[in-house]
Amino acid sequence: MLNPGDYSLCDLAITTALTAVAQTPIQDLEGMIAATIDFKFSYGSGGTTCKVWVQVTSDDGQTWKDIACRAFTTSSSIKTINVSGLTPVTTAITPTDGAMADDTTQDGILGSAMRVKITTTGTYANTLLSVKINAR
Amino acid sequence: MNSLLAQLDRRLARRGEPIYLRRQVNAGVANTYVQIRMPAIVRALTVEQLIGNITQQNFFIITSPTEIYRQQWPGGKTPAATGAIIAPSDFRIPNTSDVLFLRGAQKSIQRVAPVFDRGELIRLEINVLG
Repeated sequence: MLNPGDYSLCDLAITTALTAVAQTPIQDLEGMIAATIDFKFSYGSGGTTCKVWVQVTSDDGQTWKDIACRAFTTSSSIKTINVSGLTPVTTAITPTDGAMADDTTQDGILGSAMRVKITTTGTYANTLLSVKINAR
Repeated sequence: MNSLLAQLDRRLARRGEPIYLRRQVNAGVANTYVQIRMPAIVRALTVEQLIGNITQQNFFIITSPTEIYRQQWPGGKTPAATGAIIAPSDFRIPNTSDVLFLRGAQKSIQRVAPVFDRGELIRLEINVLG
């Protein structure tokens, strides 16, 4: 990989409801063969649900594919997953964009850029969402 | 690449010392941050510059946006600001809410002066205190 390292996909204070709000992507990840993804949800008060989809693209951002979804509610939580680009995916999958089921992961699919898309319901206060990756 | 930026990057590669730039996001008691290591030229102020409230705790830092581009600091953001930095309001330019670590100590950023050449950010001049 040309640019291995730690990147922040989002560090965001969650307040009013967000509907499928995509963050700016981390780019230049060509050659990435694995990524460890850390989700940190620091709950304050209010709010109902917070869903985060990690997405990759292989067509310069024209289309984005969900590779992981993590759902949070009203408690602080830290979740970590690792995905590998070397895992064979020989049965075709149908990519989704912000529709992957809660707490599921699609291994074996990576791309040249990565971003998160966020949907929240309710109004959170003093709540923080952080998604960081270690790409290599 | 802009020739002035390339010149600064060469100088930083030869003579720069490491600094750490950190952006923190707070929400109540929760906080998180994004930090990068970058080379910089660090100058203590001269006798002539130590006037008024300016003390020897002030440092003048010259650095380049190249590491900010390369490490994609501070990461994904809601505004769709992509491409080259062309305006001082760009979120990738350090601001006075960020902190900087220099020679083992945390410094607060007092002032950031982005220098542009033909619309491209070529240099960051930062005054820190601490």
